[in-house]
Amino acid sequence: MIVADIRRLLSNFRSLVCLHTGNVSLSKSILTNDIQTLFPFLKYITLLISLDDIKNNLFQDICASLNQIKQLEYISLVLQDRKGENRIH
Amino acid sequence: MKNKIYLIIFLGGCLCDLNARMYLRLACQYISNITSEYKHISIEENGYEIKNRFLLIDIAEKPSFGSINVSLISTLKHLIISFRSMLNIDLILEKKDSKINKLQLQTLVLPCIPSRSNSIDILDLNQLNILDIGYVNTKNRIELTRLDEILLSHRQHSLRNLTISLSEWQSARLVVIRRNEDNKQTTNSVFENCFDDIITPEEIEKPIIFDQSNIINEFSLEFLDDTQSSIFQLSLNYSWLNKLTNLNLTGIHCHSIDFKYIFDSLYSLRSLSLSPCLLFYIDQFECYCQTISTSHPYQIHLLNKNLLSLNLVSNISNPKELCSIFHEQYKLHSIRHSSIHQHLNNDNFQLSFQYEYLIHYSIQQIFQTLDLHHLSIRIPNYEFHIDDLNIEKSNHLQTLVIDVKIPMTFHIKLARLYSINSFNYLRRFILISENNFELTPLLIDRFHTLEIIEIISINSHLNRSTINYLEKVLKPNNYPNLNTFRFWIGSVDAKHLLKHLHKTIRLAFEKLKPAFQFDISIINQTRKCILYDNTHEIHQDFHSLLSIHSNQLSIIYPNFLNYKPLYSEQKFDK
Repeated sequence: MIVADIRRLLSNFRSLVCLHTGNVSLSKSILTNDIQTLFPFLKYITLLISLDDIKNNLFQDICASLNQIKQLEYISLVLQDRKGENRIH
Repeated sequence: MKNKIYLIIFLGGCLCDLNARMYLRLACQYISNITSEYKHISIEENGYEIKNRFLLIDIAEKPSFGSINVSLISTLKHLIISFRSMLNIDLILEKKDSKINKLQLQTLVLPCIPSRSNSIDILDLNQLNILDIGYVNTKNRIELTRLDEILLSHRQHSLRNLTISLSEWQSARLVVIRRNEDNKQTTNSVFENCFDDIITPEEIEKPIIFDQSNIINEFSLEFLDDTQSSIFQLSLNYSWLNKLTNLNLTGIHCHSIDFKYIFDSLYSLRSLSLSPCLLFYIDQFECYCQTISTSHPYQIHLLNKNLLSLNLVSNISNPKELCSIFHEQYKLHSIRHSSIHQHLNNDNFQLSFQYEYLIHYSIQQIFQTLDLHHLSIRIPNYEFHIDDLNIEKSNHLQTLVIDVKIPMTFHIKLARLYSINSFNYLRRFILISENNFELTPLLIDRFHTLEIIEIISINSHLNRSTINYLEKVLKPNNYPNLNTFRFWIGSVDAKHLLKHLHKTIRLAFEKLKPAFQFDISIINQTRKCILYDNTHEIHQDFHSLLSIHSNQLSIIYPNFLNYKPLYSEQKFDK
């Protein structure tokens, strides 16, 4: 799936309060730039973060981006090596 | 009011894994830099591999992880850092705001004892409800003293859940303190030697009644290091024992008649985990050789009949060995009562002190006296006897978990097993065995009420006829409650047959049950079975969830996988 499509898909869920990415790791730009714009009412978030993300310094960026979302009440981070799960770009 | 957030971090993999170490560092960095106010932080190791379920770590050889800082803010109420400490970690807890006095914690879970005392000094532990240092595994005297400082909070009576580990200390002594009306204290401990004066039963008021006007009883567990000197005492007050809902003593090896008082006072106990060995004791006061005809010089504790869940755990590597602690006690008994003691110390008699014999005997006794709803036997090196499962015909067993050595010809004896027992209430059947045994239809064909069937037999072979059988019978009509069917095996006859089976079963069940799980495959070490996936609800049968009604005491092996839901899966008081 191309980037524009997934972003359009996600933009249909603006009122989302709870986001659980399951086995899918979201792309760097969605995680660090857009998450607040896409989901302005987000309260609960569960993210899968794998080693690749960490190598690219993405982890710190994600954390900074999570720090920006003031209404968040529940943050769950699953730090785990990738085991054949899908990645959406 | 501003929201106080919950931050939950799962570490996939244990710390012997380089990546997991990096995850841990990053997680701690993130916590230290978080800008929002939070009340709950947890970092937990998430799930285990089957091979590592009784992971042994030589603590002297542990490599160093270096230091790791966690800087915390004062809104924090629950701090949970929980993983098996495979490394020497220098954990440093700090206050972010130097102006506030102390962090008022309700929950504290640590993987190691912080090496600097100011890490503990910043915490106010007087309101502590939950203290879990079950992964702390140390022989270092200074660390043990610090451990004791933390345990001091237990005496504040605020604690409802306490978990500590004992494996490297190897032994505990149970001390019973009896106070009579003159406030005289008498103590009695297990490892007395035969030349000491002992309190004879006449001197103790009999029967012992837990009545405040009469005698106030207090028990304490004294933890000993390998030189047999005391490290610290954990006092178990009677009213606290009364409220206990979950007791895990798997880290204790102790044979004492005095455990009777503990077991008798557990009115609210829902689940119990222990090593079968703990149930045995020798009466040092009296010798029954001439009055009661028994083939054993020892007795077995009776557990409260209301008990619903029992988890028998032992990590013994050689079941043929004699239990040396117990055998030693027997020798003392023989010397002390030499005038009347009659049991011969011949080879045959010695066998009754073999771990294997003790386990077998205790399992049989338990089935004769208790009607359990949930039973798990997790003794991977113990070879299962078919008559271990002689449960009375009308049993209410709902969950049966067996992690033992299954004999190769297990299936031959199954017919007999089924003729003795009817498992009308059985819902979950989990069988784990590392040795090779034959997987045959008999293994499941009486269990049509099951919701979960999980058989992990890493070295077994699944043959063609069993695959054909499964294809024939595994239908929603035959197994109306089935949600999970899992066989993990070493090898399989015909892969195409297996493929076809997967297809047929999915077609049959998935229409009715979209979440139906069916998986027969050659074992992949990285996958988690129900038993080692802490998030599975089966753990709730063996471990109370945190609530204002739950009180737990766990004295465990540090590296042993306990039935324990993750803290992150539980609801904490707001």
